[in-house]
Amino acid sequence: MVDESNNVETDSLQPPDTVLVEQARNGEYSAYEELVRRYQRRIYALTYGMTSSSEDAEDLVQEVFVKAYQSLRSFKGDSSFYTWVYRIAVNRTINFLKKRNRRRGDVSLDDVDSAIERDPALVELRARESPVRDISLSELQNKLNAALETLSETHRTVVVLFDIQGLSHEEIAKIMNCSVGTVRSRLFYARQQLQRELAEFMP
Amino acid sequence: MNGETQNNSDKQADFVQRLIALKRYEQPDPHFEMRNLAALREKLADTAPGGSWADRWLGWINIGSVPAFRMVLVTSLLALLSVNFLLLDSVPTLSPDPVSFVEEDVQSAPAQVLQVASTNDSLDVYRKPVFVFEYPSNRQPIGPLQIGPSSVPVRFDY
Repeated sequence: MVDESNNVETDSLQPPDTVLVEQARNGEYSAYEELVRRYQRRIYALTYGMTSSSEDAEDLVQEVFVKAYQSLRSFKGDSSFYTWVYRIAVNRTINFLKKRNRRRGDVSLDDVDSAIERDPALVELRARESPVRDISLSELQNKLNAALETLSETHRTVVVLFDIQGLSHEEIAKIMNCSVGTVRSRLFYARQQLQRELAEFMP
Repeated sequence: MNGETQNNSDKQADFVQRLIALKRYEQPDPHFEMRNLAALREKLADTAPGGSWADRWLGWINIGSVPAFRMVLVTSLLALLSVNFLLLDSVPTLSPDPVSFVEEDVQSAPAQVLQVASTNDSLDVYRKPVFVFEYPSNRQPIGPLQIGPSSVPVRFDY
């Protein structure tokens, strides 16, 4: 989770985002690069979670940071840089998905960190007296992605931001420009849908 | 019974959340960050922060605090301009072919052409027709030319 008060989760020796934004506006590219370093993995996780394609996700990350750089002067600082760049990423990815859904692309999945083997959810799944205990990680990955793909773009965004990226309802509401109630409601319906899609894994 | 069903449903919702959260273990390849930074550096090499005026306009429309309001504003402006152009097209123009006729009662000079710039009756509502006379003459005014508030006794002898 990102601390919104100083916009960074890095140590106090690092300059805050606001300073870097100002420097980048004045033409210091290294300042902008530092901002990219801070958020590129998060933006990638968002675009990857929504597209289920590492190539598309990487292209989108570049598009987002190019767009953010080009629009840096229009960034008024009403929200944090982090929220602003997330908003660009969400809008770009939703637009991309709307186009892609007409010409369904290939799915290319990222590698899974070995730490997943110790995750309580997977341990619980493996301990079951059911066929799902023998499911391979790549099969599980495919099932989860397929379930996510059944959601609408906005519902998928909420699930990715809340369940995968761990953002708060308030942060998501700011990013998606909607109320906290709308975020909660979207999350509720998305989970119901996912529950149906992943029924074989349910306890 | 209902409590048990509710409990089971909550349990399933919780498990779905934990299952989906497993996706956070999916990681991009280790070179992603360097590759992305290098690609960006290349793309932004000749770009100043803020971009071209077109980018700034598009940015202003898309990424504002009230994007819908801005979109409506820009659309209204464009609609207004379009209507203006349509109205300009419907205004009647001057007739391209002027009508000619001969002035018969002029004796000392050859017949002259009198041109009427416009004979379009519909224009009468808006403006008087403009006559253009072409009459070569070497005659001089007789008597002194007076300029003053009372009268101007100028006589032309045709």
